[in-house]
Amino acid sequence: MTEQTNCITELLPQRALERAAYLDAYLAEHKKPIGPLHGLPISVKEHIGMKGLDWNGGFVSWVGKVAKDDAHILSILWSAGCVFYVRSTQPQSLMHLETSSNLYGYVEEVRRVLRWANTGYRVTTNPFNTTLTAGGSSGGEGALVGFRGSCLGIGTDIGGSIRSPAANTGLPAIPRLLSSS
Amino acid sequence: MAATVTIPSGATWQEVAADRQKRRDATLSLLEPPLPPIEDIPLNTIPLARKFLTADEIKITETLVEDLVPQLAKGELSSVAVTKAFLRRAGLAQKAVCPIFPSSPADTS
Repeated sequence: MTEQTNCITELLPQRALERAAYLDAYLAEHKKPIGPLHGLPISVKEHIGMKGLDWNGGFVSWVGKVAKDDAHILSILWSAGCVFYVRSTQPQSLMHLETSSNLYGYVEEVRRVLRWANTGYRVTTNPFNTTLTAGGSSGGEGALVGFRGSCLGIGTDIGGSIRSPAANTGLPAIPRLLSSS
Repeated sequence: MAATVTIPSGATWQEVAADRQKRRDATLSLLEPPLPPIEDIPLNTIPLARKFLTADEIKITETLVEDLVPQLAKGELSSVAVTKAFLRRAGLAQKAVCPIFPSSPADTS
């Protein structure tokens, strides 16, 4: 039986390629990069608001809430020259060391117990062994970077939400805590 | 029979979820060139990249980020080429994932 990794919520091919083409033209014209991360595609957890895109926190009832602006971290990375090309999965409410939600995929056993309709989509799994978890809540990033579908990803961490997926997929992580000791 | 749960708009959560998943599939279908359907996904999905991506895409996506940055800055690699490679590999990561369970809404077993 095969299993799914299920790690992204949407690709952004149009806006990413437009941005990349702009950066290539900039380098050709000015003979210097626009910033220290010129042209680098990075993946972003869906939790982080991206202008004009859904900002639902994994809640079904929040679908349709759209971010008015890019989150501060994205503005910084944009100025540095990054390209945003994919958004990755998050668990409902984010407070979970697992990456499951009713929107993009849930744990099969929960579905069976609660007799939910089978949408065929399941919890984010580990690309190295899809019977195992990628952790959470930045598990979409963990699975995606573990698969090398991304070289650098942005997640969010309060109680291990970057550290747990990084540990589960053998990746280095930098959890920048608000009040790190 | 489980109770029907709806959100303020009157849609059931299953309808909302199906809509988001449809949107995701639509963004995946924009990949150029498109990825073929993937069957027989191995337990360890990592080798799939070798099977479905070009040599150039594999080379780019397996270059360390600290090595990609200077190549992009010097123009040795174009941002379009790198972005395209990562788009396809991210798409593959998701596709390697194709739903395998019957997706009939009637199936609540």
